[in-house]
Amino acid sequence: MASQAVDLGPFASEQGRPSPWAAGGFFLGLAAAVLAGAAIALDVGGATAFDPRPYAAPTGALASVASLVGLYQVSTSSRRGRIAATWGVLLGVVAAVASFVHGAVIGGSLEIAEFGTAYFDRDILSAIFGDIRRAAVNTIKYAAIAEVAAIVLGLIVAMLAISKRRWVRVPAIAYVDVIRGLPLLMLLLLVAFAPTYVGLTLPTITAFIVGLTINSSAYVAEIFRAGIQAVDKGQMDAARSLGMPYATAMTQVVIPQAVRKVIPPLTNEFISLVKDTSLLLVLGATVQQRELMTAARQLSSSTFSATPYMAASIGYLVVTIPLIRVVNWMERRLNPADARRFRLTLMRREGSSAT
Amino acid sequence: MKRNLYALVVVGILLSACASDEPTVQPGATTTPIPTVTINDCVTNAGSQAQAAPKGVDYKTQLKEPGVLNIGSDNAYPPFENIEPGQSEPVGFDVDLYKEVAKRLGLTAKSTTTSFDGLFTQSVPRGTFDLGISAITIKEERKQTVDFTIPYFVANLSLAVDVEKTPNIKTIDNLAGMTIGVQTGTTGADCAKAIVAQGKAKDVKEFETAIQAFDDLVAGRVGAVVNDRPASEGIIAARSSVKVVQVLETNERYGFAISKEKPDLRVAIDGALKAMMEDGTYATIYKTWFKTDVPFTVPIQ
Repeated sequence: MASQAVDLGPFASEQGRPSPWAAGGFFLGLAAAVLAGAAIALDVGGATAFDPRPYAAPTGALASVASLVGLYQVSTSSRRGRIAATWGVLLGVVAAVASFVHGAVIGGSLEIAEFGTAYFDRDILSAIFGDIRRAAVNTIKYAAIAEVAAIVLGLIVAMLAISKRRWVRVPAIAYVDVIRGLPLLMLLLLVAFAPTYVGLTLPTITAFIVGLTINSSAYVAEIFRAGIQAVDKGQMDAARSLGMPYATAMTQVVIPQAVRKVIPPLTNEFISLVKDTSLLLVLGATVQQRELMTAARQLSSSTFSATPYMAASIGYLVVTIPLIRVVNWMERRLNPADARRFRLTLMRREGSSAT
Repeated sequence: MKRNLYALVVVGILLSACASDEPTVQPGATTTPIPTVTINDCVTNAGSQAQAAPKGVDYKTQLKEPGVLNIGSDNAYPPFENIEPGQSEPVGFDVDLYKEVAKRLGLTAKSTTTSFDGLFTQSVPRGTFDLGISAITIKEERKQTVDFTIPYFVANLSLAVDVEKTPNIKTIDNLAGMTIGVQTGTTGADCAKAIVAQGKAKDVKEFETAIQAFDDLVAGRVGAVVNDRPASEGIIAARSSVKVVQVLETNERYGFAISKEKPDLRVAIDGALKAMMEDGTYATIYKTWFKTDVPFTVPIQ
């Protein structure tokens, strides 16, 4: 039986061996999608005698099995099997999501119209547009100022941290460890409130940007350290052998090469900073000062709607997604060998996006 | 950190209570009466919307779980509700009140900590809790999402300032160029915005909790705080330089928020609250937490 190959068409593996699991994954996914589609169509079509609820659970189960089988096949099967299995997964997931949402709607816990009003209320959207736009500008402004300051501070700390002198190196490493070990929220509250007890009151936004900068500088320092150490050691040796002092070799030869490597991770750090600005919420803000998160929170309390949250979320994505694409593009452009060595060095700074 | 602040507040309340010979002195109240003003834009509109009509079923069938009165609260608003350090259960005026209500209905009260404005925008309308009890002012906008029991408290707003930093601020007319601190989503926030709209102050700064607004007041980043007076008095007991300088009369009523799907439960709770106000139980609980006789007539109109 096993040797007598059944013609499995597109599900046959490259060696011609039958791959029934891929076919199973595909057909299970297809069955789940058909079942979910039929149940939803009958319900939406107004077949009043038809109660689709009992069909939701088997559809979900079928879809889950299809997804699991398909996922397994995606990694093990032949190319054509993989394609079939991928379709099985897609259909299964779509069926599972559709039957879940549909089940929630007919179960009464989710009403589409109400859901739409809560999250996408047009009147509220147009009323808050100016507020959200101003908040988006503030978000970028706070993140940009903190990024520039953090690059300056972080480069200094990185230079100290790779020093050969222990009394220079140890405090710098301790600084990085302490800052990386603290939640940003804690840091912000410490910067905002601790100085007031010694008679120094920083304005909220100043304290906020100082806190962001201190936090970010530790990660930027790690990025620079990794970037400098990723420059081939021979570069420093060669420069020194030409008679350059250490400082000249570092600033003229090593750092220029390191800068190219650190641009993608520094951009990542900026993306983190953009998201971290949301913590202004805990320090309080006036209308002119608030960034996207705080604006959304305060607007939602007065509009009784989640629409401001959706608007602010879109605001974040408008800023972050292009940056994420740029980072990926830059990473691809890096010399592959360099990129690999740099990534290996960077692995040590696990958990760089602290919040 | 927040809990420690509350601990200070509670200790402060206890100290001020011990320090005063007269048990009739309000916590934090000064001997000279605090001037009162009425600002039209700050008066809360309680609305006149009709509440859901009772369905004529046993109220116990409308509970989320049998025999339990599930309550949602922010549990961070002394002396109404607050969880003290090392404790797992909240204490306060609201807590004693709903425990007594539950007892009279033959139920057990169970409190869950949640966000304040979520009580009337999400959790109570959705049935996550049977009741939202968190010193909630009965307000027209809120009535669109939840129903309210009969009022159980009458409160005014107050203007609090740091008398060491700004001894010259006596009324809202001295706030020119100042920023007012408030808690997001409160009637105090609405009032502060009205004061700014009238050109009497420069700006409003919103915080997640009232306690943070007072922290910023002590730090000098805001010039004044507008907030419910009873809670302000409770919070500033631990901050010697902060005083209430003016009462903003709003006579707002607090009620228990309840789902529009549970009208029979609401009627039963109304009955228990009314009975407590008539037989003196309410006055006893009031005196436990506010050290004074009830200053308004009960049942509240």
